Amino acid sequence: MLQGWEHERTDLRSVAGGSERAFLALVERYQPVLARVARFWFDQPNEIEALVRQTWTSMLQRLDRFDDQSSLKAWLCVTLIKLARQRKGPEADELLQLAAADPSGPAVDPARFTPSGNHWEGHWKEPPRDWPALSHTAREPVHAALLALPHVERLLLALRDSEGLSSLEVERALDLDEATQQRVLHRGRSRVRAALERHYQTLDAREAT
Amino acid sequence: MKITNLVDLSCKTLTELVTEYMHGALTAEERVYFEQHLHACTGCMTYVVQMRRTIELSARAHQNDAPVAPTDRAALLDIYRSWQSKRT
Repeated sequence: MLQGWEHERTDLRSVAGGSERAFLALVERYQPVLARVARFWFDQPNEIEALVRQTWTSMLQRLDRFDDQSSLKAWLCVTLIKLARQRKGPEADELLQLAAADPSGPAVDPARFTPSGNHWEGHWKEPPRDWPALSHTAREPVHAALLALPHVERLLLALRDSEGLSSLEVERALDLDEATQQRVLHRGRSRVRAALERHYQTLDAREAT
Repeated sequence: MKITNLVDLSCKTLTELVTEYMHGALTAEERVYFEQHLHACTGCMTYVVQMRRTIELSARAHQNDAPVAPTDRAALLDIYRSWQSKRT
């Protein structure tokens, strides 16, 4: 049985060999990912479309140099982000530099922990409560919390946690090293967790009345 | 943040190290202290579970983002054909 990467190389060989069907199959598979990532850079559908088209063109032009270390999906995402940054110019670089320099606030409100001078300093005053197993009510608060995140935090969560890019692949695309990525991810995930906690506390309070 | 003994690792510190823990970025020694704390502290265990759940739910929310516009297959095929014709 062929592994995922062997399938990809077979597909790319077919594309290189002139198979329109193979090319369209790749488009079918990766176009939604590219459109999702492109939305982080542009709002207008025509701009998103142009960026995605440019990514496919770039892929074809560099087909012989496909990087063995990456999945095709990651390769396409990195290419798209580099092209988006070129199109955006210094504005995109400034945004990334700001995110890298932004100091992290606490993951959890310090008031949740026992203050200094106490034997139990830094331990939960009241530990977090379990969340319900079903998550159908979580969809909206998560969506709202993600939209409220600073741009680069939301982008990092999407690339690392959702699209599954490695830290190295994200570093290639955004020039943010692993430590910076971890800091930004930590900040973003902590904010979404806090929003979810507030959501479940509200539900608990409603049930209690 | 360097943890050299279990006493240094308060719940507050643990909540700041959770991402490094999940990314395998703690030293072997720090990881042992982190896990010893988790085994003894249900609050922190719940916190780590919630962070994993948060990651899962955020990932799903991004995947379910508003549907993309239909792909202009004809335009992409033109790009492909033009690339092919230049190669041959």
